[in-house]
Amino acid sequence: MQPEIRYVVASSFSKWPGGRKRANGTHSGEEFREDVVRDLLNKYEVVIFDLSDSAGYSSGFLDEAFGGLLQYFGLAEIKRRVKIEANDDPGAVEIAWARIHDAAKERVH
Amino acid sequence: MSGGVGTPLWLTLLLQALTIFISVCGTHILAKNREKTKTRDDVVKEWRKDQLAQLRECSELARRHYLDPASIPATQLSASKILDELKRFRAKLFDVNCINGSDAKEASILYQEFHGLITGAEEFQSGGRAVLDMADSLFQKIRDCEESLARNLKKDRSAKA
Repeated sequence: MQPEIRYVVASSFSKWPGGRKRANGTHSGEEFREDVVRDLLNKYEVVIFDLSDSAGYSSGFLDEAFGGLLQYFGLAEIKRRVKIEANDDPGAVEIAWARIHDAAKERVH
Repeated sequence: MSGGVGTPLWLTLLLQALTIFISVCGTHILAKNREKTKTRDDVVKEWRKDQLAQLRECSELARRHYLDPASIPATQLSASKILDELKRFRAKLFDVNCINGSDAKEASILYQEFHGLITGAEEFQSGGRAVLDMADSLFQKIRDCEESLARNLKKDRSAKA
């Protein structure tokens, strides 16, 4: 496994991220999680997701993309291996982490 | 020469000069301080006015997005506009400091809730969506959250140094 990668969503995935599910259109959170995030976390020990310079992320996208990670990894592992940054959208980072924590709580109950 | 019984004139004059000097300096410092405070108050006032308007804009766009049939074919555009306005609102949310730390935390949580209510739905960016009924509970939830955020914005804040 390689040590670390910075993945810039706007340039490598889409500048206009879509909705929650694939059924809602292209570049959805589900597509991002299944085709990008899972693959990156299988190859790299730490993945830095840079959410900067996009047109904006819906809560549905962030919930599906990052909250959905709890399907594959535990909260502690996600905290250790995933970093989320956005120099122009701190709200997206907060929402992504809030959804990860919400999903972790849901899995406990 | 003396300015009174036992007080030399030069000392009397010096004391008078000192009194005038201190008085002038004091007035100047007080005026400067008042000006600074006023400017800082103006910054907060202006920030609050802008943020409350931006909050209303986000709510209004959300209502149109979900209620107006004309927004269905323009779903991508309408959704992008909402996301952009929400991003703008959040970008300025902490441009001034909360006096009470718990108000900052509350603002952050309320913003996430507001964002989630408007953009969390599966059909938010789906071109195949249908308009919602005006009585849909989503609108009441958005209104309630908007009011809570507006109340939070009105809490004590100070301009950054």
